[in-house]
Amino acid sequence: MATFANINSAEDSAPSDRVRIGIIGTGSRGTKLLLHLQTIPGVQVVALCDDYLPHLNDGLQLMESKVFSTDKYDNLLDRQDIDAVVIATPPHLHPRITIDSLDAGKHVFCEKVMGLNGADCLRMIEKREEASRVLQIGFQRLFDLRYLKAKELLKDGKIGPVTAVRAHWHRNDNWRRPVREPQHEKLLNWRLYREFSGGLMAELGAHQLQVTNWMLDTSPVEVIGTGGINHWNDGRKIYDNIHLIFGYPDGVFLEYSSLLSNAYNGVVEQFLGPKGTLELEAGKFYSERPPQSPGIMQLLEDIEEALFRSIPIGGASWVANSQSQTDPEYIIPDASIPSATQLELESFIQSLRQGRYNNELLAHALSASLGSILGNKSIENNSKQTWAYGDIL
Amino acid sequence: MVTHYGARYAMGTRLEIVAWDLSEKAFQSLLSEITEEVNRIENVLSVYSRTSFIHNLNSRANEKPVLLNNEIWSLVQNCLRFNRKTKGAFDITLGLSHDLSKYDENSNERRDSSMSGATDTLILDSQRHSIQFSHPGMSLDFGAIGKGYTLDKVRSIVTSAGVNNALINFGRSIIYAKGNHPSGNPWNIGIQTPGFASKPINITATLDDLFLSTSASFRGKGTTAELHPHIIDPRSGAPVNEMRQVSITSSTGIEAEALSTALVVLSDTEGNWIIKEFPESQIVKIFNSNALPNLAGSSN
Repeated sequence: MATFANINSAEDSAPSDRVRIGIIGTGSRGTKLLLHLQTIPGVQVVALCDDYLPHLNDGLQLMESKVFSTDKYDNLLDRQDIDAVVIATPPHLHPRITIDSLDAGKHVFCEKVMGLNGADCLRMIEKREEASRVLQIGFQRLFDLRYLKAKELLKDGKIGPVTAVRAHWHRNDNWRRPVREPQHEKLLNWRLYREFSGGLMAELGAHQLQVTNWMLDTSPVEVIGTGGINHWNDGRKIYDNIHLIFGYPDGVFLEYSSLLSNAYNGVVEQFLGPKGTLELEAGKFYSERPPQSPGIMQLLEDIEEALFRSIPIGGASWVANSQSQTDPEYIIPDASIPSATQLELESFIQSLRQGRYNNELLAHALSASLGSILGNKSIENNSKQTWAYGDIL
Repeated sequence: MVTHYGARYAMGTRLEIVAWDLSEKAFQSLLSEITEEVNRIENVLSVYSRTSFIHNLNSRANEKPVLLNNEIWSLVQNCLRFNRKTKGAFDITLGLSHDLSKYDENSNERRDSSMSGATDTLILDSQRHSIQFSHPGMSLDFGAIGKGYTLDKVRSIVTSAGVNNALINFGRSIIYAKGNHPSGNPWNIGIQTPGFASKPINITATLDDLFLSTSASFRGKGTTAELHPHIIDPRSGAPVNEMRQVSITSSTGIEAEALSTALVVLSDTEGNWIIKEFPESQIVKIFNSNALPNLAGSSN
């Protein structure tokens, strides 16, 4: 199965090729990335940075030995003993820190989204080319076996053409972290502020937009959306429910919603076609039609070959496994698959080691990031946005 | 000349239709009409659907009479006729139906040999066309003949559509065929028994405007090779523990199914006698323990 992963092959690189990493942003995501990185042979985390001391300490506690730490990322970038940085700060900082890191000659793995406005995203791309370093954005579903398999199934026509897409990310929580000192409010609850966060669209929706773009092999051409706050009325400005329709070429629409007041629908990506339905997050396929019975299959083949013989379809009843209409097929039979985050980081490391760069990955990151920016713009302005250059910038 | 094929999920199983000598458009139209009718009947008769008419009836008929429309009244009358003529071997009032997956050895729903069957326990008013249960715990279950009844309706649709050649397989246990196989030969259906899939099929039935129903006292579950008891003898309330498989052809689907079900419960001798009451039907084959693999858990 075709993947984006730069799988370590013995001939291409020595596992002992050391890669030294500095992590910028050791909050909840950054510490998770740290733990994953620590399992990759040859990777050494040599420096940590966070401007919120408790988070910096969280990171240091996960280290086996003492490492360089700072609250200013410039200090980290000045170090010559760092090959690459992993950026897990709030998204409004992604463009500046990424560009500065590339300028400092470091390879960059930056969490998604690329940035909160179109111009910044494009500047990051330009800088990467200039610096000739690896830039990978944290859209881990590109490495997730369920999604890779689904991509294959779609290509094979398992559901026929995709005629509609439905996706949502519904949660029941207020996204608010407890803050001990009021001056840390914006530092910790950056997700709730427009200056720092793209809200539900960028934090959650961007993943699903990226998946949709990837499955359809294209990008949206327009989006119309709306939203508001109807539950968490705590003075926040980030909406707690958003609803959008992304229009793709060939008249396919993605119906998208995300909200924080109900978790019944959970995380769903559904691709609908005349022959069936693919649920990607759940890893399931539902046929619109039952499979042919073996006896009828034989009959139809016989007719093709002008053969006549008895049709072996008589017998005690065939019963579907459940009384429900259709039984889903698991698209990956083995329930245990490697973590996509682990795979994306391993791939990043291999890219550095082999000096190989995958443009496709960054293209996906860009279109998903821009898509979420335009989605937010549409919600803000209550108007349809199109993928015209002017709108993006 | 194209052979058309269509399939749908219905009534917990697969409905397949093969037809030739008609246009693609005509076939799609036929499929559409059949699907609509099958869904309609499922919504009336299904005991698995909480919104079906039967489900509703079952929850009310204990307390007071429930009015039936013409369709269900006739169906009930028909089923009572089968009940009488099979000496109680076919019975729609078996609360657990013929589905052993719902059978509980310890349940007080188990009928003891002194209990009566449908004919005696249903209170029917032929003036008002109403039905009432004579005691609590009763329910109606058309599961044994639901598909046959449905195929009778489907046959009418096929006829009205002017289709001369068709083969319809409804979950294997009831099959209808009309006209000829595209080769010009009649439709010839092979009957299989589990565990013998690799052996050549030597029992066949030729169907021209005929229904073939097969019932067995055992059933495979899902993809397992194990067989489990499947049919309850209404007269005793206990599962039929002997391995039996019966195939019947008949001019109507409902009769084919009623008889194949009843003859699994009845002995060979009883079955051969009772079939004489049904001039429209014939026994194709009765397989019994001697010819079949052991039941899971049976002492045989």
